Amino acid sequence: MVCRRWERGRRRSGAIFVALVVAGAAAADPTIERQVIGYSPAGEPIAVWTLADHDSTEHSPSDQPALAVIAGVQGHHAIGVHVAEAMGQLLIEEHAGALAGRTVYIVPRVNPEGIARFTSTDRPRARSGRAPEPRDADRDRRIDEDPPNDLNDDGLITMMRVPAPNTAFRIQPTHVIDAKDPRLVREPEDDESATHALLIEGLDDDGDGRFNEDGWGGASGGGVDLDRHFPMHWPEHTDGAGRFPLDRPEARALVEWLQSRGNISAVIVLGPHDTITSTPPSDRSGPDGRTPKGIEKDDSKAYAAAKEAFEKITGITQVEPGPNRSGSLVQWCYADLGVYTFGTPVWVRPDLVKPVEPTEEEAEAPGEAEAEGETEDAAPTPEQIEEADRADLAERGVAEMFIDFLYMKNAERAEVQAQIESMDDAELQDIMQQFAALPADVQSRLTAVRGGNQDPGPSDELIASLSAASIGDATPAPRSKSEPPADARWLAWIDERAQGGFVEWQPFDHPQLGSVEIGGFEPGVRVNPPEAYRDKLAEQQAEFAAAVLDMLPRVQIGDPTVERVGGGIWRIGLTITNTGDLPTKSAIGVKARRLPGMICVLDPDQELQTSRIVSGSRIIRFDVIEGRGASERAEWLVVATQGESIGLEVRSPLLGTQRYTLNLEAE
Amino acid sequence: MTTTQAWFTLAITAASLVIVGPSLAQATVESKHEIAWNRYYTVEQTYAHMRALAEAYPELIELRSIGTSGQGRDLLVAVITKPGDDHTAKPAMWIDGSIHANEVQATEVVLYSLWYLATYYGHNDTMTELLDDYTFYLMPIVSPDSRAKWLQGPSTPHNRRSNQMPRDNDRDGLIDEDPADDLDGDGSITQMWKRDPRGEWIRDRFDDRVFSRVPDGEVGDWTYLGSEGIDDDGDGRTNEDGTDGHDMNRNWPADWQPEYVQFGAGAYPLSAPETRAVAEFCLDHPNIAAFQSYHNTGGMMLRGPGTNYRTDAYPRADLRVYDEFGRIGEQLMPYYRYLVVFSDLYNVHGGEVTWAHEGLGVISFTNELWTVRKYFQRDVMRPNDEQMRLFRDRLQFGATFQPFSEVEHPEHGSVLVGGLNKWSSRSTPVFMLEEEAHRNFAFTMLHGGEMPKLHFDRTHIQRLDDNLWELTVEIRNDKLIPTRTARASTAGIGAADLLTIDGSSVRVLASGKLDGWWDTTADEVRHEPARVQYDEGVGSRGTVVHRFWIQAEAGAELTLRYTAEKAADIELTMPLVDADGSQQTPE
Repeated sequence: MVCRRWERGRRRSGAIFVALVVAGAAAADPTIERQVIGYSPAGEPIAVWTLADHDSTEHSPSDQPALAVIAGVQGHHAIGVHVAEAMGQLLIEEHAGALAGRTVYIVPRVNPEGIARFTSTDRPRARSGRAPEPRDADRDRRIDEDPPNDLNDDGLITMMRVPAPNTAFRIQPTHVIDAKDPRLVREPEDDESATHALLIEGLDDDGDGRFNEDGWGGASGGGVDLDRHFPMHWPEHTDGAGRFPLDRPEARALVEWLQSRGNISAVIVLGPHDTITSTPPSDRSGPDGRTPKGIEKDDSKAYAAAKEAFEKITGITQVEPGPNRSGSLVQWCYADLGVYTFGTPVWVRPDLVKPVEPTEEEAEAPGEAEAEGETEDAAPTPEQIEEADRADLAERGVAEMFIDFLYMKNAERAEVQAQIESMDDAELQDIMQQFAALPADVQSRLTAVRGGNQDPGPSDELIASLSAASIGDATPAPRSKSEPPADARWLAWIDERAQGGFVEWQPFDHPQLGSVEIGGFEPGVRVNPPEAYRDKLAEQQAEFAAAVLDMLPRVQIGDPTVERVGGGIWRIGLTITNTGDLPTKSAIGVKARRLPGMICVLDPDQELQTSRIVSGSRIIRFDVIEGRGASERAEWLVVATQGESIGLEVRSPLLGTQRYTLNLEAE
Repeated sequence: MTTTQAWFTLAITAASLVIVGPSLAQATVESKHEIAWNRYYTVEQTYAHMRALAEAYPELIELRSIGTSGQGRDLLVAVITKPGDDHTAKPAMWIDGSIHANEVQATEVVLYSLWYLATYYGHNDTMTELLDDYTFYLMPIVSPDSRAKWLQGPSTPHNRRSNQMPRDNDRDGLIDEDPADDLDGDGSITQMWKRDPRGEWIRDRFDDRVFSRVPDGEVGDWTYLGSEGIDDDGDGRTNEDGTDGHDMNRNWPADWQPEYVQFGAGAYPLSAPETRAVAEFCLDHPNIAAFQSYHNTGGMMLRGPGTNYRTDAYPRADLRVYDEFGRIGEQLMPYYRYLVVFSDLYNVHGGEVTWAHEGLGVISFTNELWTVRKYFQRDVMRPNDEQMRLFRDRLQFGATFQPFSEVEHPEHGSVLVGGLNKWSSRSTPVFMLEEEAHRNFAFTMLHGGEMPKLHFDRTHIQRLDDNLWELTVEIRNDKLIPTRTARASTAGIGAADLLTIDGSSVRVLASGKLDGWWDTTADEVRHEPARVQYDEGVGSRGTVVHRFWIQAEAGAELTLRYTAEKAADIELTMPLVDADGSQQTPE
């Protein structure tokens, strides 16, 4: 499809434009429509950008399947905001085909005050994405009285490593300083004793014996974390969750707007939560037993498809463990709004990114290509992987016969299988029991090779750990318990890039704690990539969004049929087909019962006597139409005279309203 | 009237007072605004009574609109406390009614409470003390839009439970398109019967209001067509999408669950303007220390939890408080039972009574007003048809019955419409309303009257050295409700209580908490020894005992202050006097 641009305000017959309120300055791009859906308490607007290719469809943007891209829920996730704001233009320029018959809504800044606070240069930068709001986090009747303090005056809130135990403040040691890399503060191994405590840079301002327990960027307090502020599994009475869900107008405006759209089939949330590379579990729910904490089993296919596309496009196969999802936007969009919700941090620790097959363009890009090259050079050999995998499996208690089975040649395997088949019941049962006790991933690997398929291999994490190990150390060692902590990987990346990001530890004479050291990672350096990476990441995410758009349902109504059964009896029928990959509703959407589905109404104006429809309810509703060519058919028997005409209406949030007039004529 | 006449009248009045004696004093208190308690009031009438009371007792009552309903009606709250007092500076009880508008008498019970408190303040010691010590926030109508619709529009005993927010109940993409229809125009939604030679019902020969089912194998001459209405949208179903749908008593942020788990939950917690207004008012008034909401029906005092997995939110210390109220309440209110929502009734997610406990950390009851057992006030669990007919005909004189009339129905032709109307169950028969209101009011005053009340009890000063003193203080709560419920302190709700010591010439060197007056070893407060937080508060009829070590010259003055969100602040100023270990009790 040819890439098309449209001018703002251009109207086409038959196309209805969304009602638009263009707030503040004109939209960044003339082809993107902006609508303000709410304001933060300080009056900052929350905007939705609507993209739709009006040339490709007769539907208005609100009457066709839509993808919503949401960012800036946590104010410190600057890369999400950047990508969301760049995405509209990128989709139009690079992926116009994906916009055919689809709408994209972009909400780039859900939390404008949190974003402004994080990027503000007036006050020291701290790692917090909260919406600022006066709070008494420690409930001592003093508000925001003990925030972190920029003791070394470098404009950053970093960390203090404090020799511990400290009896005056009852601080227990929790960490050690790594012998090899003294910048690294890590948890002690089994044979080590902790020597230091790691605290956020600051004073005990209010003299209550605790440090930084009530204020922006501290251990608690400093506002509302909008990503713990949504009503699904809301963590009541915990720090940052708010007085009640959606107390903040930003979050409420977003929820009300999303609920007012019936056409949103999928949501991408650019933020700290990853629900793509590690598919949320399908067996966990809230205490009520019905609200999923992960996903519904029947939605796992869609998540697998998204994961495959995402990994291929971005190379990100793993994400560092993120914050708890309770009360997050991601969790609400899935389990309450009832749509597929793909969350990604956009940028992850570089050693977790697999090289993407470089295109010419990408090969020229500096920075990341370099970083990727490094990883590629260090990729472990199959022998190294086998060695590490065997060690890992053995450590996890997998019996040797199973491990050998994985690494056998096919002929040997056939022999073993023949042996198994000739076993008596007791032996067989024993093996089955052992098999059943194996970890799930090992079971699936064994099942794969037994079925003659290729071994999916060990976890990507294991391979990644080999790659990372080989960067720092020439001899790749099998993964051990003392696998380098994540911080070591970050340090390795920072060193390699040599553009800062880490504040060297410096001694500091702390007025309360005595001699401490201040330093550590710059706030946000592990969340937001260097500027040079941004465009590439935006392109990748736009490509992923396009891939999701391609998966969305594509609903077609066949021409209504009129058939004379005999005499004055007529059969009227209508088939609705979904040729998209995804069903018209996710499994959770069906369960959530929020949206009407597809509604077929015969005689919508009730011009006929009701009694003349003799079979079939006048209103027939299809909750969901599965994807890939599945269809549903509505049929009625009507007693009518030849030559009469009957109206027929199909309504759906994915289609708008379609009207037909059927003439009852015998052939 | 001449002066002589006036004197004469006065003399007569005085004489009659002497004659009737103090035992009838209660009945002789004339309210400055009398209200008849043998009838139900519309939203406008209720608000007019509230305004009239506020005008009659301007020093006691302040009216506040805390928001507007979905259809723009005021949400009116009456604030009542001792004249001149800051109502936020003392513990308060929240009392509301008619969040479910069809549970109609709840409004009258709350209005009665306001009327009684205002009328008897200054005349009755209990009422006077209640308003001297406490504030009451009274909201007779949480769902005014639906009350208007229930009272003034065609209704059944059961509909208008929700607010009037549009909702697509049958998920056909249309909103509220098939409500019940008042076919006979009598203001009631009753029942429809169709003459049918193969029907399963017959009409009673002696009382043609009564239909009964024929025995198996016999043929009757009537068919029951259901509740009065037509299939407005032609989908084959009748009355399946009216204005009902959002249940405001499932809309609160305590274990709120979406619609697919909890029917009526609403779009999100506090999505209804009415519930949101109440919640914000309560959160903005942390002095609220007791909570009551009124519903019907069944004769119950209910407490949470709403589900079996929320029992942890009800620690034993709190249950002891509930149980005491429940036990006495059962005696104050015959035929009422003290029950737990999830184990005695059903699961409720996002209820108001549970939010007040779990979200605000406040002792909270819902009373289900009226029970069928009260019809005869004998040990009849459920009156049979014959008994009910007796009650309705001989005591209510047929007022709960709509006569049958023939109506031409668009789908069914000629049908008979009539039968029991919206007053026929759930609502208290009007001649019994005042008693029901009073007994429930008395229960809430029992509850409200046990909100925390603190005083400094024993103090003890010992001189350890020239300028070194040991001061031990005891703070006592006379009441059943602790300053911090166990729920509040374990979940971290609200601010901790605070004990401070001030004095320009005293220096607090150290301080520590004691387990009781006779405890000898303190648990040192390592930081801020002169500003001590007590997150557990002062317990149910319990004490807090604290010891300070102070550097000061003899005679130096100091001030002790105990501050709690849910108790009036107390203060004690005393000099450090060398009493050689003698005990000092404040006057």
